[in-house]
Amino acid sequence: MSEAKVANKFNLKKFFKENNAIIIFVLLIIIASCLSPNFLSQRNVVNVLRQQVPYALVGIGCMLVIMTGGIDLSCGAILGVGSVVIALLLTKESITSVPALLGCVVITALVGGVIGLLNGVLVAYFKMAAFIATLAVMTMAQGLAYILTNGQPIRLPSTPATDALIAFAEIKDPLLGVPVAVYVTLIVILLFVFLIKWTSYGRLTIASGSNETAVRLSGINVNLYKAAAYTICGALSALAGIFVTCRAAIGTPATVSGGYELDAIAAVVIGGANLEGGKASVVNTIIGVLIMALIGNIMNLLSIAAYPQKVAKGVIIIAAVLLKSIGNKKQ
Amino acid sequence: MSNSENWVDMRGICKRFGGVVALDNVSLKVRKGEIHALMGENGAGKSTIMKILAGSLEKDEGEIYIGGKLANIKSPKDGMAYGISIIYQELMLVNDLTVAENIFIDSLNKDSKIINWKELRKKAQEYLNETGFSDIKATDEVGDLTVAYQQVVEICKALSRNASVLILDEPTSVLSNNEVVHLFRLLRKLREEGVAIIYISHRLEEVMELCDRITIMRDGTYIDTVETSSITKQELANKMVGRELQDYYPKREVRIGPVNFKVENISVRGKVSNVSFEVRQGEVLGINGLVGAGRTETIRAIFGEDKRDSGKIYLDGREVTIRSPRDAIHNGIGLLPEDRKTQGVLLDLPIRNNITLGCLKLFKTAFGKLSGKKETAYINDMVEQLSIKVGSIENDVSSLSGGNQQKVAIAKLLASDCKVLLLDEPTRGVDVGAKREIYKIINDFAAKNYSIVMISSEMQEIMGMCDRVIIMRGGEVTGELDKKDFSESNLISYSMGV
Repeated sequence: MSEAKVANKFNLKKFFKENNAIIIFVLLIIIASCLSPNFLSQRNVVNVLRQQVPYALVGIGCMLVIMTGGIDLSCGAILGVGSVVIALLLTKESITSVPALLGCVVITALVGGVIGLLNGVLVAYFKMAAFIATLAVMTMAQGLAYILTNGQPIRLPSTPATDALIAFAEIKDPLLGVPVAVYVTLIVILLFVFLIKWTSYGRLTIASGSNETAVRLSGINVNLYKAAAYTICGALSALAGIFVTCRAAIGTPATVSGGYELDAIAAVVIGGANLEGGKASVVNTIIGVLIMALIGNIMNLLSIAAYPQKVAKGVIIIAAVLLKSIGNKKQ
Repeated sequence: MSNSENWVDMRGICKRFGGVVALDNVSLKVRKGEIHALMGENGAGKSTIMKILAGSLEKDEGEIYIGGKLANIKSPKDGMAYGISIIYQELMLVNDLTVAENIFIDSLNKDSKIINWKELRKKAQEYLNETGFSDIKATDEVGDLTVAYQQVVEICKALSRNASVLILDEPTSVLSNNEVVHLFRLLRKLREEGVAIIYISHRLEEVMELCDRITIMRDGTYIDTVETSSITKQELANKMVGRELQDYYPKREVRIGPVNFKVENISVRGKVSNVSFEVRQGEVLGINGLVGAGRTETIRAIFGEDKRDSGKIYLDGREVTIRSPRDAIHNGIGLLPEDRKTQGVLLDLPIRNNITLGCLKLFKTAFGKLSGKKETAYINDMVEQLSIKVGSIENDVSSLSGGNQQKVAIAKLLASDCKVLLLDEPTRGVDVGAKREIYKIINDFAAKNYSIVMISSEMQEIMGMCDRVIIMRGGEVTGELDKKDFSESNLISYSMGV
């Protein structure tokens, strides 16, 4: 009987440890709805979800990289490159139709993928420290975005293609009023849940981060999986950049310093990922993104000014991660 | 001999790691002014009991007396306070600091007052001169010294802490013959000054030459303490091994087929030179030799993990190109690495993810989805076949005992469907019961016509398991023995070059 008791106790601890992102998330929702009656209004919820589209995409990309034991500081800059590349493509006179827009989206994702691949090759094949390699690529991508635009914001001309793109961010389903972009993001999330949980790609990506040597000695091409993570992260970041551009209807190189990479990394860590690799989950990463969003939203609803918000955000991130490490120690 | 002569007196020491008994009622008595050898095979518990004496491990039971007084040693700091200093195989020096800074690193840390560098250097140089190594300068950077000299710095560091008990763990494994002579001279000098020296080694020759008395351990138990002058090398070897072969190694029906795996002139600069051997179907070929003989390096070079400078590899008479572990496994050559925890298994992932790492393609269905059902069936089959004791296959590998972790590593190796198995110390760090089961697994696969190469440092294991053995020394093959010629003295003479 005493053994059963021990097992029970253990499971409870384990439950808290494994689900503490969700617990924090629920707590924040409760706090927010108490603080402001507007919080649970449909308008506010839809707004928060729509704002999180780029963070969710970059977050998933960063999670893949962190899963392999690396880090990607360049994803925010790649997002910026993506946002100006799509804007530049849409200013071309030949691109007016909706199918042409799809081509532009693919090209933009490829540009992001190629920059990500550069990260991947430096880290996986040239054995460079991920922190340094992606820092260098970040600087290059930032410069690239300014070179491409001569440092000027790019206005989107009024064509069927641009209208379709802007509509993508605005059109809502008639029932719940959720923007299409959020549904598309949801599909991407589900795709990655499937890839990580149910395919050999996911298994081997996690394994590569857990113990690179053991995986290599099992005859698996570890470098390929590592490089793939950076490449996918680049492509997802560029796609996030497209969304940023279509919401603002303008492509500005200043987006490269929007700080997306740090918010994304914070979200992954709050979601319980191990920065040494081998442990991360898509669902928890998305919860991490939403926790970051809630923190911001609560402070907005309380009309806290922008600069104190930054300080408070940092404090809350530290608190969330500390809570986690305390949970780990108890084990 | 009265007890008061024993400066170090460890009585009835017991230590368990999880369910595994590492030390069972072990005693050790060491006098001042003697060099006392502690001998035993790998896994005998030599290092464990020394870590307990030095305070880096806590004992479960037993008492330690230092100078006749009960000593309560719970941390390395306690150990130092009792005058015990241990020098590990991996030296604990800071390479970027000077010799003087390393020798007095404790006091640098403790004293908040301003450091008198001149005085520090002078005192460090005094220690160096005293030990007879005045050509080491106190201002040298430790990283620039040879390993032998670094060892001297470690010993000076111990002396600066007024060590009355000095423990050395396999100190000569990294030294050249000439350097060994210098080390021995220093140790003899310290013996005259009344230091109690405990010398861990499994090199018979060295111990016979240097030590006054020898304590022998085996499988975590105390066997005997003898005067060196009263025992022969052969008797000592018998005491270290001590069990009857036929009882311990499972029988196997040997049906050896044609040669199907052959390597020629494998060389790795500075480590391996011109190693050639062949293995027949259903045969277990042993590779014996001392630590550092180049055995692991040879196998890693064959497997494509390390770069070869030369060498050809043949499978069924056909030359194959192997540049990476991937190539090797593609050709049906698998490796069970030497270090289970860092190379063999993925400790923090479930047993499921470990076992099928190399064979996920077997379970692919539509859209690349893995069939959990098929995978589970495969894993359960493997778990049963290798009798791996698991609670659930969803538990992390780190929750298993060493023996079962090793079996997971073996299952992972078998999943890659290789017919040539390179096993590097397959029973290292595994308890006696699990060892026997691993032997049985090896025999089973030999009986299924797998070709097996097995590196082992344990002579008994080699003689009990292998059909043939090659012996390496200094990166070269120094001998080859057929089963009928197996004997400890033959193995020793090839591996030590005597």
